[in-house]
Amino acid sequence: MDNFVDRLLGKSVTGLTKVLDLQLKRHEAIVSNIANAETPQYRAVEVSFAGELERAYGKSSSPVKKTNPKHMDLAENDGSHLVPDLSGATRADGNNVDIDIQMAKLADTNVKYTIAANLIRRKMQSIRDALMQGI
Amino acid sequence: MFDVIDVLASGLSAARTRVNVLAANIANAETTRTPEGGPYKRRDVVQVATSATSSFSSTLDKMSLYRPSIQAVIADQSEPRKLYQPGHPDADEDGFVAYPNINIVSTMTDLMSASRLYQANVTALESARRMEQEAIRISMRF
Repeated sequence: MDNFVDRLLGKSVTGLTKVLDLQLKRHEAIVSNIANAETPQYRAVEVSFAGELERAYGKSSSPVKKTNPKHMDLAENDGSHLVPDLSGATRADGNNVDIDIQMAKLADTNVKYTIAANLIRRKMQSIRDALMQGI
Repeated sequence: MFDVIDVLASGLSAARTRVNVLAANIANAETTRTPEGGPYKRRDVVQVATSATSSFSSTLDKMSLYRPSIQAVIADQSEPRKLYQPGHPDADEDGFVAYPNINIVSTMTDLMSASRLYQANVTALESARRMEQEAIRISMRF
């Protein structure tokens, strides 16, 4: 399926789709942090991005190697994983969510998601324009 | 995406409960008599984070989502504030009246932060909705 999409729309759309997926994952982590900003002992999380897009374009392989065929295939996953978010200071109740940083991150995710979605739409539009030229 | 909305709905509900409890504490800061006897006791919320995903595979997939929930609202058990008011109908034999242990200033700041938290959850909900609409618009043009 991915291959078909690649051939029809070019690699850019595949890459942009990955951007949408990753921003959605980031958004989930940020939402969890915001909803739990006052929950005692809650630790903030964020999605790690190192090498995600290179992997999406197939430029590098997953850092996780299977040494046994029975192992779960982590390469199937898009490679994003959660890491502790250490941007905020830990308060007396054991919570380390900095609500201002999380709100800024929320806006950032939103903008990046919107940009990627708009670029995909432009690409679709240009393909449609090309298809309609002969008519 | 539906999980996100679910988590944010829990966040809104938890923040609202917090505001309600704090408002009750402020309103009853000077209440010296209650149906269960004695002065009003300050209420505190116990908020916990529970995993928003149930099955094992979905837990592996989306470990990030934690849903806040109010586990209990507990009454403060500390000694009441005693004020010497001999003429008061609720005064004890020594002339002291028991008042609830409520600090209005700290309760007010807690109330402000709880209502800000509610707004933050609303903003996050709006952003989730906008992202959903962007995704829908991709397919609408083609």
